[in-house]
Amino acid sequence: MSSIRLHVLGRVNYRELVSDSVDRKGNARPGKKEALFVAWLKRNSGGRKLSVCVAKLRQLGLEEDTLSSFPSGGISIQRQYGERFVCLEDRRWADELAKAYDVKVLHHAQHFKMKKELL
Amino acid sequence: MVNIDVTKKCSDMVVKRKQREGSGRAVEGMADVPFEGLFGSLSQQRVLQELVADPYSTYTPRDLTELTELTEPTVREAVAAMVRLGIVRNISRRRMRPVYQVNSDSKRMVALMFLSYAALDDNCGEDHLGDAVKYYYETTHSSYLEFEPVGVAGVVGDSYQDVAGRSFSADQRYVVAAVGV
Repeated sequence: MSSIRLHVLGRVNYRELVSDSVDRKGNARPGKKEALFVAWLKRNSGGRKLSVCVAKLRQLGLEEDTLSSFPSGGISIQRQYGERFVCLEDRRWADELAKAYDVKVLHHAQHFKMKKELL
Repeated sequence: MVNIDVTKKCSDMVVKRKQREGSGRAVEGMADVPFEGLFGSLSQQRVLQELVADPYSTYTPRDLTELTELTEPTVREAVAAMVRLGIVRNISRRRMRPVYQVNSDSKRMVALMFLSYAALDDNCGEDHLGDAVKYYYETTHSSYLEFEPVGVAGVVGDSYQDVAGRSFSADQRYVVAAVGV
């Protein structure tokens, strides 16, 4: 019966994918705040001004150095019209990270979790 | 005489403008305004985009000022409109220091999140929207899928395969009857 249930659900437990704090290459795995930042960047068409990104990092309680702590190929800083932009390069990675921390799409089940965090 | 006419015309215009504004307020939040005024001014859209991009965080007006690069009065005005629409709420007890959070019960907010993925898809030619919709469906409807077949099988006393097979044959009979073959 359990195999049928698994077949019906057919879902990947994304949380298990980030259970270890270090990945294969020895880099620190991004936490929930980093996942929130990456998801935010993705929903902003995959790019924002560096100054705005720094403000967002500060709002989330992260340092500016966080940008360099992401795995290589994930995000990049590009210069355009004399302004520096942060661009999301690997959108699939961003997706997986957002799914792992359940910050991909807002749904009503998260309402109680959010309330609990505030208390 | 000329001065009196001009003054009268001016006062009439003021009265008419006030009437217009009054009637505007009366239909506020009704079907007269597209999307109930969700897409108001450009500054309102900027604030809304920020909230849609990260609905999990809490925001002070200063946070939104930094993120949207707007002035604080503009941000406060835009947020007040969103509070009226019910997509954002003030969770602070102190009146002078508001802290805003997205109302996660708001379906409009979910729809707007999908819109942000749709915009990304149009720019990059990828399918993030489909993925997001699928993920949303899985997270919100997984409970139905989890217990429904098991519960039915338990009540009837048959296995899941039997129940599924029976319903399939019933469906087949219904299709045959409908087509008339």
